[in-house]
Amino acid sequence: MAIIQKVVHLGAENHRTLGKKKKLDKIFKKELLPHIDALKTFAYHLSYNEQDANDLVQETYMKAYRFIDKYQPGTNSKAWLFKILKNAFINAYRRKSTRPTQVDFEEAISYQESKNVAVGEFFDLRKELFDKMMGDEVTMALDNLPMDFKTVILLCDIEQFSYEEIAEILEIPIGTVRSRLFRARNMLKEKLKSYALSLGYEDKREARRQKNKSKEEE
Amino acid sequence: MENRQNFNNIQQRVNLYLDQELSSDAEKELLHEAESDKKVKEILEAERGFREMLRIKVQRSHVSPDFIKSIKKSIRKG
Repeated sequence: MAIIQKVVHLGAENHRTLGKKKKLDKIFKKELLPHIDALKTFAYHLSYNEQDANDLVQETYMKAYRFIDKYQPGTNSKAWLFKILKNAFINAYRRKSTRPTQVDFEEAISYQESKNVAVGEFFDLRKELFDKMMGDEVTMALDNLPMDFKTVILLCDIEQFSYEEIAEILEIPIGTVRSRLFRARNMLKEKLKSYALSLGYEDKREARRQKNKSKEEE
Repeated sequence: MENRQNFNNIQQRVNLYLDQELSSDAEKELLHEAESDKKVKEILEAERGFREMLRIKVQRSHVSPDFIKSIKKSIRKG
């Protein structure tokens, strides 16, 4: 009798375990897997390498599945996955890469301040510049930004995360997100302007100014 | 110097507006300024165009069904 009870108990236990696994698989498929392309894009821009990006995405999903019990279904799965990926990237690259994951903010700020005028001029270049830019050049300019600056642009402008979500993913204050984004975008504009000039874009503003001046004088 | 500070101030508010991080009162104020001040309108349009360009032109990755299968397989293996 005791043996039969034990078998029945184990059967029920297995049934519960199977039911739980099925439920977790469903959450995984419905809430986590749909973000795989976005995670791969993020991983690719962080690692500059297809294989490393695949490894990061795979590691992210394996970790997510391992800790899926901690995930509340219906909450922000995308931000949760991005945070896991960001931590996986930091851990992996701390171990094996010489690529910096931190930037010297003082240096970056003084760089930005010295470039403010040029950044302002970007607005006069925009139409011609945007037409000339190829995807490769824009991607290259973005990838060449220091890691912390590139990351906020990827999260905000490419993945449309809110400042609050970015702060949560990167574990930094919202004020830092705001100021870092401002500087990152201006640094990127400066790089794009250099690319445009190297592509042969001519700055016609001075000629236009002269023309307007002569009109006024007439 | 004053011009530069003014430019930065407008640009910062425009960024917050486009990122949907500006309060509704500040948003109204900025849009009102954009209607009456050509420079503010230009900055707003330029920032909007810049974001649009990033959204369209930055390379995005796609994963293959085989890659998804391999992830599921790795998870099953534990």
